[in-house]
Amino acid sequence: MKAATLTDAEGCPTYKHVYEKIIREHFAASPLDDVEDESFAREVAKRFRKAPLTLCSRSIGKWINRKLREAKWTQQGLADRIGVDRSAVAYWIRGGNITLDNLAQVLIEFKSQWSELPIPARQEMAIAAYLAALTFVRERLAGAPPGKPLDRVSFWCLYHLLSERFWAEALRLSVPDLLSTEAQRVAQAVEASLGQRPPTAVSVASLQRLTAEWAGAWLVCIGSIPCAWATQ
Amino acid sequence: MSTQLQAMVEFLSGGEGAGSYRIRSELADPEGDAARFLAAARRLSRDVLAPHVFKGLGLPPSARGRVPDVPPPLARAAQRRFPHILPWLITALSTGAVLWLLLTCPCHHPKPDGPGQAAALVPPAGGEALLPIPSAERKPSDPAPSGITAPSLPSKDDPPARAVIAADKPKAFLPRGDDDVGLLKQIADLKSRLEAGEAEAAAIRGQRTDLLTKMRGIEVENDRLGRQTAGLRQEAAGLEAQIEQLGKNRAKAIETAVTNQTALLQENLGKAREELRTERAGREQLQKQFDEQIRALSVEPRAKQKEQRPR
Repeated sequence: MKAATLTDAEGCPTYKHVYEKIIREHFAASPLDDVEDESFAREVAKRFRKAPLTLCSRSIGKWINRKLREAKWTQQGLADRIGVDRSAVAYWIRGGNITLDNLAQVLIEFKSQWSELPIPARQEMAIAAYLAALTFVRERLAGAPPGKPLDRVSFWCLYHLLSERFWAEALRLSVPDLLSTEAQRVAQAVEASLGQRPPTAVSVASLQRLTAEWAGAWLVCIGSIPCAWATQ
Repeated sequence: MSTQLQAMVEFLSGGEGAGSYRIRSELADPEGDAARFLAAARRLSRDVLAPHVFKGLGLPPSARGRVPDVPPPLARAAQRRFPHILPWLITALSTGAVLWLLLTCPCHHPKPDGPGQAAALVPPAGGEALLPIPSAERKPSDPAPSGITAPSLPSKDDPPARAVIAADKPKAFLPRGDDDVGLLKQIADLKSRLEAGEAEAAAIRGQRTDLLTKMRGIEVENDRLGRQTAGLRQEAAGLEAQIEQLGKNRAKAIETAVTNQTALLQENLGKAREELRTERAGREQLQKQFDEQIRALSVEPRAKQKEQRPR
């Protein structure tokens, strides 16, 4: 596992040693089968980078399909105009990656500007990246693919649960009322983050199940990605 | 035996196993590994949607979505400095207030006819002066400025001053002689001044607390603004790079399109010239054939006419 380099605002090396020690201890006790530590971090980062690209390509594919309908062109017609095979156009429309040259040609053919290209919000891309990386880490830690993929509601639950000290404090004191209060706080925060009421109820039991399944991946993932990139 | 990470996950999921119990007992120590690990996890979790992550992803700035408002952690220097300085500040302020009260008390003011000697408060026998008096100016028979009878100077047989103070401290300011009532009034006045001074010190302490709170808020705000500025700078740099790249790509695309179009036009022009040349050749050929036919048509009838002309 690549060392997590936590940059402190005051330049104080506060907690990173403890964090690294515990993560390292875990991987020393239960090493990954066929993956070296360094390459594991690289794989996590790769998933982390790949997800936004996929999201952007999907949006661009939808945009090309819409422009084809508006212009009443066929995929073959567009392919002939820009000198590619029809299967390439079909691949882009399905959400496949498109090169910059081909994208420029598509824009010229449609007489469009770069600013017309739909780009998802940054936060959407970042969350998609975390979902991909978390799923990968969870799969590696458990040795099997997770039964249910992590959705956005669960992501925000984990984010609000592990960004504050209240949940851990309530567990340490073993006070059920505090746990219920914290579950309500997390539910309100998730609703504010999603912009709408979450489809499933957020309760103490659901939060406990969620942390049992995903907290390990979360703790490993947050130490592998953003910290290392902050210093690069 | 589970690792610390597994035990932490078990604890966070509300488990009741041995690992969870171990973590719970470790968390009782705020400086323990478990507490520090959770603190680090909290900070890293808050950083999940921090600007540097977006920068690391190489994402372009666009309509920013709803980012939860997680307050930034307090500046560590401020957290450490204020609790550390606090007792010293209180002690210094209290000492200053008491000294100010003692120095501004009218019973300690110097008399104009006794230069230097009234500046000291002379304690009863065996006591110790609160302010130093030069030995040359001090006489055993000198009266105290506030009417206190001057005691004799301590001799070598007297017990050490510090011990005497410890033993006789409650008696040190007891009134003597005929001015008991005046002294009692002075003591009451002194007490009231002391209370007023304490009240003033309390007010100063309150103001200081307010100022410290404001300062802390300003530091937090400054920290937040600093991060925001850094994020904006990074975004601006990314934007500039993207604009430059887009300009290059656009110029390249336009150049490619123009080159292709020019080549196509030249090709079409060549074809058109060739067609024109072919058509011109065909037209010339047709013209020749036409001329020949005309010539033939005009020669044959003349010959027939010559033959048929009567001789």
